[in-house]
Amino acid sequence: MANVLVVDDSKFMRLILKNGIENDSGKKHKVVGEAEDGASAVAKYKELKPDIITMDIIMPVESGLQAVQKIMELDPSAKIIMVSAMGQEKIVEEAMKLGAKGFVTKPVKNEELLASIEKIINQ
Amino acid sequence: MSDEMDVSQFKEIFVSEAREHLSALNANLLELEKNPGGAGLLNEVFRAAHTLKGMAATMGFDKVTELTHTMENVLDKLRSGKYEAKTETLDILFDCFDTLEALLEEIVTGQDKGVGVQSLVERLKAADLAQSHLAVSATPPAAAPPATSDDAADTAPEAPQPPPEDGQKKNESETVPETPGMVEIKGSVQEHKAQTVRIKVEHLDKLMNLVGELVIAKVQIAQIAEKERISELSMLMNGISQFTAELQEEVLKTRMVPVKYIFDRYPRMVRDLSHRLGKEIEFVMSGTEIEIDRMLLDQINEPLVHLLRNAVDHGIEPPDVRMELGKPAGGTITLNARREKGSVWVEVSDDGRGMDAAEIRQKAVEKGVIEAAAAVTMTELESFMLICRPGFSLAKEITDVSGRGVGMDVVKNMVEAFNGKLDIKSRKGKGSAFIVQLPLSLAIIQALLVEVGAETYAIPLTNVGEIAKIDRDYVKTIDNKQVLLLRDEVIPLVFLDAFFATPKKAGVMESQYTVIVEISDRRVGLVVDNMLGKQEIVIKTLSGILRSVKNFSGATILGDGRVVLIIDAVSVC
Repeated sequence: MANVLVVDDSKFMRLILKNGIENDSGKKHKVVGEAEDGASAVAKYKELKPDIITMDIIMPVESGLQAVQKIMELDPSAKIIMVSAMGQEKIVEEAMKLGAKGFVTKPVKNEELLASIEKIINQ
Repeated sequence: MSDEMDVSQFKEIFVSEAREHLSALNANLLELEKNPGGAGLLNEVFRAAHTLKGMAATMGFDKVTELTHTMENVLDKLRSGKYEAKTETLDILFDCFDTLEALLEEIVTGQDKGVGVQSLVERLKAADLAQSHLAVSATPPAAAPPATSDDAADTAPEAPQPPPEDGQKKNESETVPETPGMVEIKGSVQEHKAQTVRIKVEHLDKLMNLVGELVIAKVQIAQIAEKERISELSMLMNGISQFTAELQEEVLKTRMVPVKYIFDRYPRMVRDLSHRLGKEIEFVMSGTEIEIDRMLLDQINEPLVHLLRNAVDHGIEPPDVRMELGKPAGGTITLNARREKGSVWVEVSDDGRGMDAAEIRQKAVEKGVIEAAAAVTMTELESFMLICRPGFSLAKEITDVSGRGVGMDVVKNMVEAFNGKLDIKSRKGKGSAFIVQLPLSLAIIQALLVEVGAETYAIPLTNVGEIAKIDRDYVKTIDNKQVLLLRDEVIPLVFLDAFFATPKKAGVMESQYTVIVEISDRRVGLVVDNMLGKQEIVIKTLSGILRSVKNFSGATILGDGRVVLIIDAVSVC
């Protein structure tokens, strides 16, 4: 059971991710908050202290990468999964160096996302 | 995710968000064209394309994914400064937006109309290739001689399938409302996303009708209370009256949407047209926040598109002609909406050629549109209105933009169909203004109630020019037709009692008044027995077997429950 913060600038993508995380896990996990840019992701993290974050990369105000850096500085034990598109391998690599724990690629497959969440919270 | 999950439930949200991104893409790229070098804007454009790609991939919309993916590649290089944003590249990107719009329409309707993306993908890749040759030739892109880059773009491989005909494409992007049949109702609170509900227009129509019925029932109860002298009921009715009035107003408000919804499509249209015609045009819009009835919004689109096309095509002169005349090379077209005197006014004006009233009259006489004698007495406004007569076209040659047989007569008819009014102002050499007066709502209009025999009829006030008492001495017969001599004017008369064959009311000797209605540039007198006054009426359309009834545009129910027909002045005169 994990409380998740979903970060994506697309409302549609947040809805899809929330549906995948909650309904496909049989309500095992819960989306406790959403953010639509990097800066509000950091603010929401401070406020909600979620167990895990799904992080989009290309976003307004601050990118996902900037948000990862700031959140890891705030809390080195933060658990972040990067949600990337094809062709963003380099950015994902960089995010992992900064402390992100995993990644899934868009279009996101629910079982992959859930497996990644399971793996990271059980670490 | 698309494999195992039923994504259809997310389709609506996908489409609505995709439209927002498309609208932002168009607006930002237009802005970028005006102010090149805006890295912030390019970032925005890139991000929107990228987000769309991710969304489309999730839904399994392959064509959208492929196109946005290729767009993203080119945009990424543009924003990082590797390439410069040339007009050719921007043109391709604009074409991509149009195709995305068409693809969204396929998604909405579920009909595969065979919209292809391959040709655009090829064009994008060719532009990419052309630019990357430049980039590797060690010449900084900004310093690249324009001739080279033009050549490179010109040698781009021919697209295997041509993009859709421009006219057709235009239609798609112009007549498809943002969300067909939907009204977005926004709360005034800052966080309006959570305060927004989407409602089908048909629900609002039904609500509107029900409120209308309620108002009528209320009046009937009030009359009973008065007749039976039940004071308690009368008191209660005061409160109910107030609530129903407020309810009616609120329901009306829900149907109102800002004109921005359709105005936002026009900058693109004006840009594309002016490019095609080699004209420099600055397009300025104002008053986009003015709200009008949603149904009206759909109806003003087509006439406005025609007026704007005319302004680009016939109004604004080519740059060289303008320079010769001592005008700035670039022309200006403005589209303004404003609220004034209980109406909304939409004005399309340009600083182009303008028209001369005398020239128009002369041309109208030559074309046999009017008699030479009639031309002499015409006012300036009447002269300009001549261009709205069928068969009158000012364009010297037929261009594919506006001289396609759809002329000002059609525009005028469309405007009058929704009880609007068209006015034209112009100065030769200075420019023209086309002003459309809209009713605030299609559902409620100001009308003049008149009595003809034992019947009551309503005449929309927008049609009424003046009311005159009939003096029999001034009613003459010309060519077997009766006319009224009013001041120095000869006004044809239509005796409504004879026209509608209404039974005479006992005691009324003869008709007393003539309501002079203005149709196009003609004035016709409708002879009625009595005037009952001005009133706000709720229009109910004639449906079912009554739909094809001529001479009436609808009906309304008065407070006392009587049904009154609304006269369609155009068909009576």
